[in-house]
Amino acid sequence: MSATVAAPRRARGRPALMRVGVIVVVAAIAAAIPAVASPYAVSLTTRFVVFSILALSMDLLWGYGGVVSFGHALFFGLGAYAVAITLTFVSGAGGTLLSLALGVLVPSLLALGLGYFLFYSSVSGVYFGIVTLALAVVLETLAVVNRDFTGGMDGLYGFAIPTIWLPGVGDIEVWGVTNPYITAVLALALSFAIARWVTRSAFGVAIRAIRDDEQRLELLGYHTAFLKTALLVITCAMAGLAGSIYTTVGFVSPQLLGVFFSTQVLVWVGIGGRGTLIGPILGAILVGTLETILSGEYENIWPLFVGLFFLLVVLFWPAGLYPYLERIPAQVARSVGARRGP
Amino acid sequence: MQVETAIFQGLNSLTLISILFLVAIGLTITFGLLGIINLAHGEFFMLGAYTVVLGAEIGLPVVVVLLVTPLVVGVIGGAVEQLVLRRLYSRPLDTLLATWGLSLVIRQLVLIAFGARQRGSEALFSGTVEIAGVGYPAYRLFIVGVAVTVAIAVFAWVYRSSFGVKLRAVIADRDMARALGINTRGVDRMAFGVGAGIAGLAGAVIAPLGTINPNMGLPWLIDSFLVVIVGGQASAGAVAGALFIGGSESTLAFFMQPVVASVLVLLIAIVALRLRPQGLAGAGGGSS
Repeated sequence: MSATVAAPRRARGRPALMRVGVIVVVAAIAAAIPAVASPYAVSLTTRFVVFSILALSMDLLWGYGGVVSFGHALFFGLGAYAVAITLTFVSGAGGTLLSLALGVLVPSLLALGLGYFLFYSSVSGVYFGIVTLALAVVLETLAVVNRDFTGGMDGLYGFAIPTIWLPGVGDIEVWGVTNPYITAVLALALSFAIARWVTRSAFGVAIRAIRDDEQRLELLGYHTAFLKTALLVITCAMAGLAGSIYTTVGFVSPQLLGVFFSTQVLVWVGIGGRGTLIGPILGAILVGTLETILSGEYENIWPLFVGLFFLLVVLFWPAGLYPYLERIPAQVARSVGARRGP
Repeated sequence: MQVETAIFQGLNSLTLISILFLVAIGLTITFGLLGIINLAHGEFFMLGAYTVVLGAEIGLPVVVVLLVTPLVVGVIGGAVEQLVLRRLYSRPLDTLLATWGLSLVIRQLVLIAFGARQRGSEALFSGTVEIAGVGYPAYRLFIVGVAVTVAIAVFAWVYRSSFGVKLRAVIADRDMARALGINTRGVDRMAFGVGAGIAGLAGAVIAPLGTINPNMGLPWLIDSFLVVIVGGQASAGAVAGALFIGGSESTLAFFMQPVVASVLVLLIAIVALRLRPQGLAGAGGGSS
């Protein structure tokens, strides 16, 4: 009897405590990985962390905004190419800062242009999907053909080492194993904070309302084309940031711009759970791990899996993995409570 | 010399316009009727090309293969409509995603079945025809003929057949058509199957001009979209769009790298979408 009375107070206290606990545990795991894992595993994790940023931005656009893009990786790739090309010509901390600025700015500007032409036109969202698909195919081909500027099929490598200057510390080379990892984790934390702020702001509420019923929002006096363009610019800037940090692996290739990579990003988000902030990160890590295991042995099987995942998510499993994850805290709480007794 | 180049270039434009029309008309039919865009359209095209490969391996005459291909691919299209698309008509964005997933699956299954290597195929006939003093491949002119035939057939099918009446009734008012006893599900499946079948025919007819591989559909898919974007949803839009895209692409490709030309054509299409959302042939406002 007393347990039922105490329940509401516990329900208020537990989630906040749980949230702090989760943050501490995640931070501890993130900090422990470079100390415990092998260099290969740390580098692989860095990739997944960078991909998580990309997945998060895709989810803001697709899961929250309801905008389907088949070329989101294009903005990631543009960021990576912008950084690599800049670092080919300039080096040092100043060059790195410039390259990072361009790595975020170039994708944002393309997003602005796309938003102006497609969202401000009275065509349906289907057209946006098609145009981004076409753009990704055409620009990937362009990067392959134009050898002088983009290195063609081989991509770009051998550019200057990205360097960050910190007051009191001096120049830090973001190269090798640990430094790229730390940079990626910090960038993910920043992106997560931005995404969280965006989804909880009035802007985020309006964006979700546009996803559910754009016409209604328009009738209520919202400038939906402007809001969607703003969302596109924010998410593409985030994708560009992820691409910029990706260059710490030491090379960029045309595949980063391509449609298949964009498709995989959609799969990460779909499998993880669209419209949630944790889902896409989970999806990027799990599907990425699966890809690492499968594509090494069966090269032709992996794209087949990606296609099947796609059909699965769209037809039968729109919520993805996240709802299962969401149930875990409640189950933990229940089992802890049960152990303590009434 | 200059005149001959111009004539040759003009015939090339005509061939490209015919090819684009052949590939895009199926997409226009499904888009106009069901309001959805089929991202697996390029794969139906690719399947058409592979039926030619398969037919050659079995030893069937090319004429027979060309006649059978639309039926085979059309039946596959009908099955896709029944198994996947039927569930998604109220969700156009999800249709886009589902057909994209499907296209990956088809592409990969063909890759596993036939291998990644490039295949060639034998044309129905070869040789050149002399037009105003310019020798031009006869098979390319045959493709123009096929495109014109298909255009007339589609027009007759939509505007002169009893099925066309039902089709237009469903486009105009789906619920009313169903209330009048029209089997709207059957119309959907038929229309999708015909769209897929024409894409298959296009693949089989165009295959001898290039090489056949599992990824060949994607560039054609993109071009078909541009045709639909620029032309609009109406059946006549495929003609207008093919004229516009084919004309500008072949003209631009004459002066610069083909890739740069396709970037420019895409940009033109995006601008056209802003200025004329309903397409060149469309009458009313754009779809919202």
